[in-house]
Amino acid sequence: MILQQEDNVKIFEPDHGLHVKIGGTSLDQVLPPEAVEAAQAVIQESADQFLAESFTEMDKLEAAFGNWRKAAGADGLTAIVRTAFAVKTAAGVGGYDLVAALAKSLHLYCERSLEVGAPPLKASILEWHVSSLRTLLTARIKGMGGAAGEAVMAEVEKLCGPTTA
Amino acid sequence: MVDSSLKNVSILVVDDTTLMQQLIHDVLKRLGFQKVVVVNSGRKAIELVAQHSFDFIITDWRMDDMTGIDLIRYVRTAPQSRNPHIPIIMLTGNSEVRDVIEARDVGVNEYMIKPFSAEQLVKRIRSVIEHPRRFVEAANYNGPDRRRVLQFPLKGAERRKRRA
Repeated sequence: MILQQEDNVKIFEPDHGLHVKIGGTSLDQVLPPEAVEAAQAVIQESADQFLAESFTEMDKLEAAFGNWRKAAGADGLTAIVRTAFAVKTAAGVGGYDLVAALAKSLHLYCERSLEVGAPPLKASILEWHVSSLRTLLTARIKGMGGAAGEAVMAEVEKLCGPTTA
Repeated sequence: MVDSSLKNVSILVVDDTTLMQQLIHDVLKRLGFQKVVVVNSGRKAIELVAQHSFDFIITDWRMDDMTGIDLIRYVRTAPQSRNPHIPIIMLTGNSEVRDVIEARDVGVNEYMIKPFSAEQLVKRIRSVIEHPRRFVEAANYNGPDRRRVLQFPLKGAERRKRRA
């Protein structure tokens, strides 16, 4: 139902159909804490699969970086951005936060280089990211890697720019 | 008698990663949702939303054939769209403020960043179910009211804190 209409703007009442569909009750009434715990367990149990996915995407990232080195161009860079993003997501879900943070740094560094007026990419920074990601994944360093991991990311941010918005 | 459960709530999940599709599907099933349809592309999602009524959509942003942003724009504005007002939750690895703003301005209801927890997903679903927002149709925007207003009156100390 339209609440208000003026100057080609229509404002409709909130649709409560979904709320009615669950019986007009609060979500907590139909979604017990045990269900949330069980759902969270599914996420935790998937960690190994996401680690394997991280390695698969890491292979693709190294290939993309190799191709880019042969012929630097926007297409090659897009492949690096895409695969770094995939590593970030898979590693993050798997609980490998430092890997995810470093992969994020890489894809943001590449994306920023495409902006107008951005300084040129440094191949050495890309190479460092790619080799470090492989090292961290191989070592299966979970979480942020403690104080050492935090320190590494602080240095990376000085070099490549912030990794948090 | 109304059935107080989640089993009749119909959800469309759009993600191009097989592993993530499976994870979101399994998480939703464990939460009690029984009608969960998963597709791996925005184009397939468009086909499905034209044929079926879903209660809400969970979509990824970065996909090969079309982005989640394009999908939301289609659902909100295309004449063929069956339900332009359907709630949409974006579940993505895009974590920059500009990404959140872009998604908001194209008409997303809720925004979640991967990796996610079950509790975070429940929070977004709760918002969609219990606190639906007014829907705005204008020349340059179709989507939930971007001004989030308090859905319930504050009590006592909370009200005094807000006034201070």
